[in-house]
Amino acid sequence: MVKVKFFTLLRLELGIREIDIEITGEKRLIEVLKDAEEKAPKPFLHKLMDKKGELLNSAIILVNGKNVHHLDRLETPIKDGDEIDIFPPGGGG
Amino acid sequence: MSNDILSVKALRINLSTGQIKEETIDGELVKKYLGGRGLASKILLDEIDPTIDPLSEENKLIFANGLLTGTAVPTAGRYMVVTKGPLTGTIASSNSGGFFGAELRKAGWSLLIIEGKADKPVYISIKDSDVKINDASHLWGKDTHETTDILLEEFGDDKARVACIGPAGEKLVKFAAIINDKARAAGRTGVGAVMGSKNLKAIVVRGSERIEVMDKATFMEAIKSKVDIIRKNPITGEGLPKLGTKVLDSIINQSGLYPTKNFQFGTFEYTEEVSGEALVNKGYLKDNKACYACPIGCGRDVELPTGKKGEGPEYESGWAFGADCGVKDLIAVTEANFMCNELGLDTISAGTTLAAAMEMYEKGYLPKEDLGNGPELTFGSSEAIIYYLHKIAYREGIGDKLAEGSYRFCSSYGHPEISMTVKKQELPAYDPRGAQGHALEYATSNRGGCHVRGYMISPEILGVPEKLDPQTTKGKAEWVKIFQDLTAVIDSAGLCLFSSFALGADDYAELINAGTGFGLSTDEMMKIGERIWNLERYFNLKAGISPKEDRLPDRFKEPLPDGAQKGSYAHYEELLPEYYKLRGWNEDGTIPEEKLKELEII
Repeated sequence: MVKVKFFTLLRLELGIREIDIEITGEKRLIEVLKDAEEKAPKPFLHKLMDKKGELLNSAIILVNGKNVHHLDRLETPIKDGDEIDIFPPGGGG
Repeated sequence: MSNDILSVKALRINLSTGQIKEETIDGELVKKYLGGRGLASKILLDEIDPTIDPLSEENKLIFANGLLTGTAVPTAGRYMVVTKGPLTGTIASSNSGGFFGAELRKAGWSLLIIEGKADKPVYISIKDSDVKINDASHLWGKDTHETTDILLEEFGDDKARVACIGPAGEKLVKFAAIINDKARAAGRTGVGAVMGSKNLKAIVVRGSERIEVMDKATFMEAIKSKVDIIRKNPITGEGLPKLGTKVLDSIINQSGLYPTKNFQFGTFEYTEEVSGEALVNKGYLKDNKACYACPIGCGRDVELPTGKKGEGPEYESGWAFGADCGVKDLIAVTEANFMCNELGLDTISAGTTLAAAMEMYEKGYLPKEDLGNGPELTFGSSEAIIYYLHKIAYREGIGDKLAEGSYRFCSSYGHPEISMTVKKQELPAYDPRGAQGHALEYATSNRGGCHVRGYMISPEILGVPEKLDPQTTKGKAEWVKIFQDLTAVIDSAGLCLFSSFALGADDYAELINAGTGFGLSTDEMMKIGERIWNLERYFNLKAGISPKEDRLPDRFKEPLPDGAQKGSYAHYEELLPEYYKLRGWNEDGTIPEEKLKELEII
């Protein structure tokens, strides 16, 4: 089971905290996110990507706490038991 | 009266003699320092001995509008309060928003230079060029809300704006704030105590003049394009308006650098109870709120189930009374924030001082009898944060010691290592072990523990303008310098730092040039920022602040015990030599004369 967790604006807009995705073996992050989007009340991937489908620099996706910008971005391999935390761009100070 | 943007006028008000003088600032100084933080810091360096006691009448308190404050430039509502700070002994400058600064600028005034000390409580009233010093004995002792309401009634114009101190400033609490528009704070570094030391309770201002620029068409075109950028950016156009700065609680917690229980841990198990999402889902958030000319609107209008209403909490404020004190009760956290607005206290220093006291108590370093009749000072206690906050503001019981800030408090019991401060100012809401560049910013900031003056969280955690690995050190010293210099420019222009989530250095140069005709290149503009940064450090060195103070508490040599960055510790000491070299400083962190001359500081 992979836990896909939603925070900040995504949590408010989707109205849910988490979607669980069953996977066997390994899957690319983008595939897991698309699976989660199918189960979600509304689409959300467009909040994280530019028009070319590239991950926004300011979109924060953590896999087991590590930002995927420092792994393989949307190609990051995901396996059973992983936790994915998703935050659309946010800032403050 | 002419209110041309380049007509930079100061009111010099001597509270000892009652003299009020108008001055025009030399245009060459404006070109070198812009306004706000830069110009006021230059005036302070020139006019006071940096070694004076900050609470003596020799200190000066300067309210300084940015060069663009009061115009239609997006976020152009910021002003600065600059003085020598009682908490740190460094140059102290504190930035605030709301509407007070813009109103002052519309009255024709870029600067208020407050000198001396009144022999009894006074307030200053300003209606364009009609300026008076008035008796404030009926206001002394009142909180900032009561003071504001009474002054607006007496002034006879509910469109006027008020900046004032509460009981904390009157009692010279070392981290007392100046509160304007009831909920915006010149919060950090104890500027409220300096105002209190002068017996100055408040300033009420009404201005009626539009600020004029030479080339209105170019100015409005630049403004329109930047407003568009800000509105379309996902952070400034969506994240901040909808969740405010508390959009950060979950981000920082899940990223493993959310300081918990006085920076003992990097995650808080009850973040879901006190986060920005919780503020919405629990129904406390009623609306967002914007400052003058701001298209972002990050302010929070909040009403609690207890019936209490107010603004906030912001991310730092909510964290300071929440995770840092181990408190999961969002109502108590929000009420503590409201109290700080009313009593006039810096939320970060107040909450972090309480957190230090909690650790002292739990470790047995703070005897129970010192608490008097107060509740146990334990992590997680909602009752304790409310009770002791009140004691701090009025310097009652143990509050008198806590009012000195956590460094002096912990030192008085023989344990300064429990105080999470740099240069005696409490650290804000990011554990430096979780972001190496940010650790360097904390260590080198000219006003002590400060996050905003070189906000490395932006690239290291938030991915703006690009995503850096928070644990690497390569290149970080240069990033810190750039952020510090650019922030000095934005502060001196009178704009909100949040605009920098959407705008870049070129955008700020375009706005400044469009308003003033200065024709600065981006590099020339950044040189101004470098000048301001170096001037502040020069003041500090003359004040006796050693470069050895460019350090973090020893706790951050220990690895983070939990969370996404478990095992990381702060490497800022490795970065210091490179940072000093990039800055053109000596190896010991002092500034060579050639550098000061190159920057035309001396």
